[in-house]
Amino acid sequence: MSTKPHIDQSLVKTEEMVLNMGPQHPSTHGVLRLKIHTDGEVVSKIEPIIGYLHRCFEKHCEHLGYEQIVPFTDRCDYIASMHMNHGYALAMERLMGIEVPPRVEYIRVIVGELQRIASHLVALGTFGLDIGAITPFTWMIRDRERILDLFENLCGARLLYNYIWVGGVSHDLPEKFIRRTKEFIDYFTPQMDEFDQLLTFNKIFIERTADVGILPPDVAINYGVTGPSLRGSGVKWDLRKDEAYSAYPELEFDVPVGTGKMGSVGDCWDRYWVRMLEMRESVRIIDQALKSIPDGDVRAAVPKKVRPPKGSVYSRFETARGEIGYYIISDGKNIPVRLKMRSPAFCNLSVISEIAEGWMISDLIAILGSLDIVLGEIDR
Amino acid sequence: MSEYFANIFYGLKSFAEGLQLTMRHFRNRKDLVATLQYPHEKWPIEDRHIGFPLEEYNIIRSRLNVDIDDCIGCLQCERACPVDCIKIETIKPPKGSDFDCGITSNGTKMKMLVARFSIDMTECMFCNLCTFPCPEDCIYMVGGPNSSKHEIEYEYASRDRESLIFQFANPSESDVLAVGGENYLRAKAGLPPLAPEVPVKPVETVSTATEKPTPTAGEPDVKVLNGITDRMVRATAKKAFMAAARGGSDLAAIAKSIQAALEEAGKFTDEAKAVLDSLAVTQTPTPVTVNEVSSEAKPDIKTLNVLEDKMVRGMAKKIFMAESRGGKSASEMVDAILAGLKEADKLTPETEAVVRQLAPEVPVSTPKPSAPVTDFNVKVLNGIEDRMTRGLAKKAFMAAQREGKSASEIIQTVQTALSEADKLTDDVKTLLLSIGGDKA
Repeated sequence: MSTKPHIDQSLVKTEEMVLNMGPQHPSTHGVLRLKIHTDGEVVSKIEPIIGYLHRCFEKHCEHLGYEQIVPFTDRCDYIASMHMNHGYALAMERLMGIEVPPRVEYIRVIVGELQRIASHLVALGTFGLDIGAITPFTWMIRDRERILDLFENLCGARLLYNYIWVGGVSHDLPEKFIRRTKEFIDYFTPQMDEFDQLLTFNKIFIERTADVGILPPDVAINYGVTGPSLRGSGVKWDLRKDEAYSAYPELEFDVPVGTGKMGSVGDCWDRYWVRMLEMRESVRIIDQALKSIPDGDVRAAVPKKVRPPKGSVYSRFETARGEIGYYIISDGKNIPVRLKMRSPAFCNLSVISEIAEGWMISDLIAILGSLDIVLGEIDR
Repeated sequence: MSEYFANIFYGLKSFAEGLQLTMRHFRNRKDLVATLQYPHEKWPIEDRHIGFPLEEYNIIRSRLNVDIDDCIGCLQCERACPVDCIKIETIKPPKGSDFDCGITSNGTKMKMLVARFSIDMTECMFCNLCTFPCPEDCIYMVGGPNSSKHEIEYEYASRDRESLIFQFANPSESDVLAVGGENYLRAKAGLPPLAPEVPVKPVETVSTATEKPTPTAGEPDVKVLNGITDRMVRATAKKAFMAAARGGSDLAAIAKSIQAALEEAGKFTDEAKAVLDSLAVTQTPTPVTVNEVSSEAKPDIKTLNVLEDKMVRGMAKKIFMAESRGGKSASEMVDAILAGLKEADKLTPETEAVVRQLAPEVPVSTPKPSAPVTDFNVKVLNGIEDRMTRGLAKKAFMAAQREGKSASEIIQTVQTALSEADKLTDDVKTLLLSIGGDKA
C-alpha cells in the first residue's frame, strides 16, 4: 500500500490567507487589530490597525485648562499613569521655567520607579501569560497590588492618579509611606529571584522567546523604538541617564541592555530580560531616594490658573514603555493652542511589521507581548 | 505482560487519586469557597482589606460629598472640574433684602443662596481636582481622612442614572422666593422668565405682611411719574416717591409727600398734580380688584352635570368654558348661559335653577372679601403671648374663616371661644379689638 498520491503540483492552488487577530483578543493587550497575511502558519505580512480606542486626547486638550489636562494624561498610558503625569508636568515646568522643590523631585522619582516596577510586572506577567505561563502572571499581579496599595495610600487612586501636577505633587507623602515602601522593597527583592526561577530561566520559556523576533539596533533606531524594547537590542539609551531630569542625576543606577545571553541580541528574551533587570535597578533607585529624600514643600509657587508665557516646548521623558514627548504650544492663555503627544508604544508597535515577518503565528504572540504596548496610549 | 498490567494499575490509581482530591474539596466546600455571590453576599465592611488603616490615607477617591450648609456658592469647584459634572446655581438676594443666607462653619458669611448643587457621579472621573480650590472645605471625597465628615462609601452602584446624580442643595421654595428666585422657579417648571420690567417683589408672599398694614397689594410704581414731562419736576417727584416708598408709606402718603416736595421746590405744576391724582386713583383700587378675583368662589363646571338633557348640558358647558376663558365673573357667566339657552329655546325652569347655582354664592361672597384679605390672616393672632390662648384663638379663627364669616364676625367668634375657656385676658381683648377695629 505504498502508492504515491498523484498530485500534479501545477494544479494545486495555494493562496495567502488573511487572518484578523483582534480587536478583541486576549494577547493583543487592548483593542488592537492585527491583519495577518499568512502562508500556511507563517506570517508573511502584518498590518496593525489601530484607532479603536481613539479619544481625541490632543484635540480635547485644546479645550482644557493646563491643570485640567493632567487627569487626561493618566488615561493615555493607564498602566503607568504616574509617568504620563510626570512627563506632562516636566514639559509644563520647562515651558514656564518653574524650579521645583527638591523634595518634589525625590517624591516623583520614588513614585516613578514604583510605577516602573508595577508597569513591568504587568508587561512581563502578560508576556508569560500569552506564551502559556499562567502562574507568573498571578504572582506578578499580586506584587503589583502592593504598589497600587502604596499609591492609593498616597493619592487615593489605584490606577489613574492625577498625582504629579505642574509645579509639584498633589499630596505630600503619608506618614508611614517611606517605611512601607522600604517594606515593599524588602519583600520584593527576593520575589524577583523567584520570578527568574519560575519564568526567566525556564527551558520552555527560553525556547519560545530566545532567537525569536530579533530586532536589530539599526531597525529599532530607524523606527523610533525606545525604552526597554530599544535597550533589548543593545542600544544604551535611557533618558534618565542621557538627558537626566528630576533627581536622577543624583542617583546611581545602571542602564541594562540586551546582550544576547540566551540567543542573539534583540530577541524577545532580551527584551524580557532588560525589563527584569530594570526592575532591579528601580529597586536600587528607590532605595537611594528613600534614604536621601529631603524635607520641604511639595508644591512650587505656581499661580492657581496656570498661564505659561507665549512659546512652545518639546519635552521628553522616559516612561516604562519608552520615550514620551509632549509638544505644547502656548499663546499665553490658560488653554494650550496645541498639544502633541509622542507615544512610545505607537512607535514600538510600528516595528512589528518589520520583525514579525517570517515567524509563525505563535511567535507573533510572543513578539507582540515582548513589545509591551498599551492601546490607550497608541490611540489616545 | 506485567508492564501492561502495571500501566493499567497506574492509570486507575491516578484516576482514583484525582477523584479523591476532588471529593475532598467537594466535602470541604464551605471552608474553601472563594467566590462570594455578590451582591447577595458581601464582605462585612470592617473586614475588607483595602491596604492600610483608613485614617492613614491622604485621601480615598470614593465619592464626592458636599456639606451644603458650608457652601458659599463660589463656583470654584465647578470651574475646576474637567468633565463639567458639577452644576451649581446660585441666587443672589436682591439689594436691601434682609434674607439671611447663613454662616459657614469657618465663619464666612454666605452672600447667596445655593439653589442647586448637583454632582453627576456617572460623569465624574475621580480626578479630585474639585476638592482643592474649595475655600470652605465643603466638597470632599468621603472616607479616609474625611471619615469624620462622612463615612466611606464605595458601593453606590445603581440601576438607574438618576440615583447617581446627587443633589446636595435642596432649598425650600419659600427660601428661593425670598431671595428673588421667581425666575429660577419658573425656569425649573419650564415657564418663560418674567419680563424684567415687572420685578415681582417677594415681599407679598413671604414677609408675612403683618407688621405693616400698608396696602402692599397694589405695589406703588414709580413709573406712573413718567407722565410728568418736565425733567426737573419728574426727578424731584421720583426722589420723593422713592424716599416715601422706602419708608413704607401707602400711596396716599406717598402722593402727599411728593406734593410737599414739589411745593417746596416751587414746581408743583398742574400737570404734576394731575399725575399725582392719577397715581392715587389708579393705584388705590388695585387691592380691591385683586381681592375680588382671589376671594371669589370659582364657578365649577361640574355644577352643570346635574342637567339631564345632553344637548342642554353640552351647550351650557360650552358657553361656560368660553366665558371662563374670557375671564368673566360667575354672575356674568350665568347671564350668558341663560341667554344662550334661551336663544336655543331650551331654557326650562329647572335648567335655570341649576345654572343659577353657579353664581348664588357670588353675590353673597363678593361684598365681603374681608376674611381672606391679604393681611387679615391667622398670623395676626401671633401677638398673643400665652401659648394656650393663642392656640385656642387660632383654632376658633380658622373654623370661623372656613365658614366664610367676615372679619368682625371672626373676631367675635374668637372672643366668644376664649371667654368660654376663661382665657379672655385684657391683653388679648385689646389685641382683638385692634385688629377688629381696622377691619370692621
